[in-house]
Amino acid sequence: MASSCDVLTQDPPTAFTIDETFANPTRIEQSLFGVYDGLQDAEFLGGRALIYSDIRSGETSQNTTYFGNVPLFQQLSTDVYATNAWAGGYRTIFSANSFMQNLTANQSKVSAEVAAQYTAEAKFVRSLTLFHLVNLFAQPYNFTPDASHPGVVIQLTAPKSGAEAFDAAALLPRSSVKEVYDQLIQDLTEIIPALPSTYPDAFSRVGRATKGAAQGLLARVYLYKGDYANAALVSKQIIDSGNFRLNADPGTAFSNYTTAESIFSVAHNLQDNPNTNNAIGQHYGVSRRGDIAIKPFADISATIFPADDKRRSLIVRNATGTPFTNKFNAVENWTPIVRYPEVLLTRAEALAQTAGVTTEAVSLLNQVRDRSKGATQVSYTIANFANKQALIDAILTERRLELAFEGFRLYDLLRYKNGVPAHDGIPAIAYGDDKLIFPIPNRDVLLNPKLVQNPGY
Amino acid sequence: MKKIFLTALPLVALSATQVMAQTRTVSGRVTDRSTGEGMPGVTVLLKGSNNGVSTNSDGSYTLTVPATGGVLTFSSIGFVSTEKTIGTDNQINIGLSADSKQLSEVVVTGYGIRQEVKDLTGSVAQVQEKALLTQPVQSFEQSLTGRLSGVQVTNTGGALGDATSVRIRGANSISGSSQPLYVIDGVPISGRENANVFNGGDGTRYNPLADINPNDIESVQVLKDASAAAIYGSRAANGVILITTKRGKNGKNQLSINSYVGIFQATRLPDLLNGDEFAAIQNEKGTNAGRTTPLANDIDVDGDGQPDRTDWLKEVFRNGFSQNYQLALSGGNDKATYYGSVDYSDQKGVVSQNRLRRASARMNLDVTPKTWLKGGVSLGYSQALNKGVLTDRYLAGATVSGYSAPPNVPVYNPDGTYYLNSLGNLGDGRNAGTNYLFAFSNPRAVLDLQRNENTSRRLLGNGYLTVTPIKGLNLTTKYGLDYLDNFEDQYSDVRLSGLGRSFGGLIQNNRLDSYQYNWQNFINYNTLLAGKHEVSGTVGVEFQNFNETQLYVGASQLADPKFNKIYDGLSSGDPFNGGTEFGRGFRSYYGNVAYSFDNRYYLTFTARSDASSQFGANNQSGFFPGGSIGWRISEESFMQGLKPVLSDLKLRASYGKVGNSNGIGSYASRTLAGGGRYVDLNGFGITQLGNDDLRWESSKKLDIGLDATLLSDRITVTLDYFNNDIDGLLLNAPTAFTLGVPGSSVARNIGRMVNKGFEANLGTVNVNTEGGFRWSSNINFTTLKNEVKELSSPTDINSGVNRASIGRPLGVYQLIRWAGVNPANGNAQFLDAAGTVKQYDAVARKWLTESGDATSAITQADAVYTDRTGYPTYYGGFDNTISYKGIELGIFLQFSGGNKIYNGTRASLLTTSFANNLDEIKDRWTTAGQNTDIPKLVLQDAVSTQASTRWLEDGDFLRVRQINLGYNLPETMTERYGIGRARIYAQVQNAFVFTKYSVGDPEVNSNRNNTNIAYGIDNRSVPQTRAYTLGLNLSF
Repeated sequence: MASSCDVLTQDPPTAFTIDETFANPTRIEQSLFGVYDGLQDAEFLGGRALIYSDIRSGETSQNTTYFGNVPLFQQLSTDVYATNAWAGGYRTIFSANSFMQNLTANQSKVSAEVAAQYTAEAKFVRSLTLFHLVNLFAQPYNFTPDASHPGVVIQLTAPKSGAEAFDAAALLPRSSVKEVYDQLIQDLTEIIPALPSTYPDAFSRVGRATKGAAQGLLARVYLYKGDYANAALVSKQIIDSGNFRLNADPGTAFSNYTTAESIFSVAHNLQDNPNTNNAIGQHYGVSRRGDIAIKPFADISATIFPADDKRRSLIVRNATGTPFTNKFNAVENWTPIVRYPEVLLTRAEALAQTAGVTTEAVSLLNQVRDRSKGATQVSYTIANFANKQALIDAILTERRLELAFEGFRLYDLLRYKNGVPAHDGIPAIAYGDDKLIFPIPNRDVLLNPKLVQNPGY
Repeated sequence: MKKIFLTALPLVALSATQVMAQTRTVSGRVTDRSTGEGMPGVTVLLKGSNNGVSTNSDGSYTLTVPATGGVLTFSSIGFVSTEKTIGTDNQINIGLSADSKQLSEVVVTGYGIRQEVKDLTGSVAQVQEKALLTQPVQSFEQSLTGRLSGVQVTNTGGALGDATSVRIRGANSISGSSQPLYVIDGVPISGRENANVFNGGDGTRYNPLADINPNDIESVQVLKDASAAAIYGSRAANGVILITTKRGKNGKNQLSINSYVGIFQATRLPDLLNGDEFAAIQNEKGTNAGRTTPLANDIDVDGDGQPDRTDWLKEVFRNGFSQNYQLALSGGNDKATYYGSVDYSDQKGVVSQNRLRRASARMNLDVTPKTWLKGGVSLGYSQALNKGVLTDRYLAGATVSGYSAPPNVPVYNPDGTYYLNSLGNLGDGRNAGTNYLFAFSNPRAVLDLQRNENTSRRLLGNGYLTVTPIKGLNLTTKYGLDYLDNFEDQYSDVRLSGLGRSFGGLIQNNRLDSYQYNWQNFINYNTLLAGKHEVSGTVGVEFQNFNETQLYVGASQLADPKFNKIYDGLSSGDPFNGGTEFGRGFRSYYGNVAYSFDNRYYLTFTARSDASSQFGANNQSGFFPGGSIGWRISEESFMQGLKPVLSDLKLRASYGKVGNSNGIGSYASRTLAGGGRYVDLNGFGITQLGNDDLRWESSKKLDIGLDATLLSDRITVTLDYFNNDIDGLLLNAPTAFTLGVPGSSVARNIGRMVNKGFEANLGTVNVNTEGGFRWSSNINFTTLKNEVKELSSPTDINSGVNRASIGRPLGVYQLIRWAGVNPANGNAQFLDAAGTVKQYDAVARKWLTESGDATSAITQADAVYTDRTGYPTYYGGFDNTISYKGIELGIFLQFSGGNKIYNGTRASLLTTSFANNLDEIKDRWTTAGQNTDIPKLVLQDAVSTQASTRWLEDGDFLRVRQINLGYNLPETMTERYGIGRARIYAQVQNAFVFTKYSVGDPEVNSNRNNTNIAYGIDNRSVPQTRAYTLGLNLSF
């Protein structure tokens, strides 16, 4: 009888309590890795967050069958992709917030330095996610003069129990886009000193947050905000660190994930990835699901994208000649977040914006362009650019070619108040159109009456 | 021991003395009046004496009686005791008739608590063997459909192994489960509903209830109210279904052979466009959207000069075939009885490649070596191999790609390989290959090349020992086990898109091992005081433990598609593996007292205290009391004059509280930090947020009923009113996504709701002539009304288009209102929240007022509550049996209604994307002034086809569920061949359904057991089947 009473004592064999996971320095570090596990979210920065912008940027074909109404700019507020992206992003933020809260409670178990670094890493994960959320679910920074239009919810705490999760009074409204950017700038600026410049092992150098990763993201935040002076400043810090350099070939970074060109990526491998229905390589890969063909991109005029541009070799065609990108072609592909070419082009653009046509800006542009340009093309000189705008246009074109399908194109259009051009049967969508951004999922609008839905949804 | 021996001695002595007296010898044979067979083991007793014998194996007996004669009584369990005066004749033969009343009227509600039906004060419904045996079903619960008032059985679809949704007096929970508690031979079985892991449990399928062979079941009882079910306490809120398997009977050695064969057909398949119509419609979609090149073009792959055409329904569906064979043995004597059976069934489903084979065996033994000692074992083993098919939940599914694939491309290439494109999807032919609804699979190739197999091995058994130290007192210990080994085997072929192509061919296996033990110890006592006060009582204790482990392995990059299992050296990809484990336990104390006075006044009280490991330490225990009263008015002296008309009349009422903990995880109350791997780094992360306050869901059930029997049993009536007030509703309640809670939910007691209704059961013998013509009918009818009373959250609980909303019935639809098609321009029209019509110009992608001015969009803010849910507000059945001299005709009708079904199948088959459509799309708007309900077709117009009341349809139906014609071969014929009984029968299952429902069958629930909120959704379920069966029952 005594043993039978034990039926009420049941400990989960596959889980710890939270206290157990913060019991000693080793487990605390393992809990930090759990934050990166959160970053791998299959619905968000596991890859989908990038795809959702690129399939609405005019660069992909009509037959993006997998993504329903997303590439058609016809989502409804019940859209499953919008719903899952929103949920996935905030799930990642939960893992970062709960880690930081529990670390604070167990801070004595590690050194102050380690605690600061871990907190910085978690905060980087949160910032990166929040930035992608505001890009997808809100109009760009320049939509209103003071960016006072609705952004997303800035969630800086994680509920610790069911009771907290059900406290309706504690549910937050959307902050303005400006408030979101301010939060990002504050967090990223704060964590840079605490992050290591690099790690001893190759995996961590790219797969974990470094100073360069945070600076790269911060430079992008400034660029999207239109704060070119700061964008120039921060991108220069990365360049000056000397930690990063371009590979000889523009394709190397997509198969060898830990070269010095990659500043931060969300790592995956064959056993741990967003699976066949969500991995970025599955969606793009010609030999995988092949959900996304890239005819408009492949059809870019040879005058700006010459046939022998090395980046053309990253375009592959299937048996019937339909083009696909070869940047992503396997379930274990890492999701690139910050690559060195972006940093070079960010500084180039920021310089162009602040100082007009300068040798440094042209030289930065050339660094990226020269490694891939066609044989008949010559390196740019100052003389090639009649004015500041011409240089900016050239830089944007270079971003289009170099950073294709890495989640940039749509935002590069929007931050210059350009809409999405008509492509492959889809009509042009003007800058400012309601359907340029995702709906806030109806489920959350119903659960949280403080959430204001985007217009048109 | 000694005492028994001593009491036996005088009997012998007495007999000896009587031999001395003047005696004579009578002999004879006792037979079963219905079969004419000799009956062994019948007690033949000289009335008023201890002088008696048992009949031998052929029913004959010899007894020495006084020369003066006397009266002989012949008695046997299950037969009407008969007396015969000994006359001058020394040969006395007699036929005994079965006491059907006696057999059916004892109800064992559990833990040894027995009650005669006439004494019942709770609400208990029963189905006997006969109704079960005559239906060719895979699983017994399917045969309950429409048979019992208050019990709603919904077949979710026609794929083999599909689980059935059983709701007793409505959905009594909004958690994952409203499944009743199943108890087999007194032992609760594991509540695991879906043991499948791959494809979210929707590819391979396994119905755990199908492990109980319907042929082995003697009776099924359903405990519907609290007084009957309270003895099951915390698990009884959804009702309790008691299954009693067959056991041997004293004195009758019997061998039976049962078999049937049948053909199955899919019913109510959608009416799709043919190739020419398809091309015209798709091209019209494109033209209306400004396309200048046609989207659909013919191709002639086989080069026969004709454009290729494929009717995918013909490729996917076929005539199913089933066969079943059972051998059963039973018999025994007064010391020991046995029942054993073996069974094999093979069913080929209506979807090509779908096949379920099952072998099962059962052995039930009971031994009574001493009058004070009884013991027994029951063992059932079942093994089933289900060759599953992907259906409604998957793009590659038979009812997804199978319905939507273009009919203008071929199935095969001329060389016999499957017609596929470079991505491993269905070849595009000369179609533009763009604007697809989704990437179509080649449905035939998917069925042929992929594998979704499930092998279940289940052992259900128990053993018991009962000691009777004094008369009326029984001490019982019972140990039951439920062991399941479930093996899922999935193979994805390298030629097809998806997993196979991505991994160079992929095999995934999952082995699930679950073990539940249940140990009960209870004491029953009953006595009759002063001839009129009947008192009985039960106390007991029960422990239950459940543990499950799973082990997962996978292999990829296969050497060749031939080697599509995990074999050494025949795959080169990195192996996959994983696993999990969990457990939970119950500890309970319970008791019951029942008192009745003079068969007129009844009183029962039951209480149970349960503790479950699933709940937080503060809330582990729950107390569940229940009581009932009854008044048998017909036994009152003032009613005696009415007896010829009103032979029995009883009023009863019960009230009690029972609980539910189904549908939440083993560790639902706790915050868990589980694995959070980041590539090669082991990590931890929160996988579940706990809720310290989590407690039982409790249901207060009131039942007021009346049972009456009129006109010498010609009419029986049972009426019940019920009111279930369910508090602390358990739900994995949604949390705002922005909080990021893992799973976006936390288990919580979310609110309160009430189910109330009325049940009526009327059994009549309409005609019963001397000549043997008999027509009897049984009609049952249930009404049901649900209302959500309280919610802990300030907002509704949402699930798709359904809501749990205070003051409204559970699962109420909240939808944008459809306002038809504008005849002038073919635009779809909807109502905004205020009821104003707005139209959508799909070409310009603009919203317009009715008069054509620009306006704001119709959005979810315009969705309104409807007054309907997916739950029927009434349902029932009407059974007719007409028999004449061995011929029996049964006609069984089932009906249900008052609900609305969201017809997602129709919505997706009227898509404006490139995909095949329903034939009705030919009625689309084309010219000004045309009145139609289908808007102008504009390619990939997602707005006109959005979720709205356009897709809500009445779920009312009347189904001719069964027509059965049986023939019992006459004795003259069976005797010639030495057969005891022979019956042949033919029947049609689901002969016809009368409904206005447009596409598919209204008896549907695509969400299966997932939720009780999103109930009544039809989304491409496999159609219900019609079965033609021919069967044979033989016994020797």
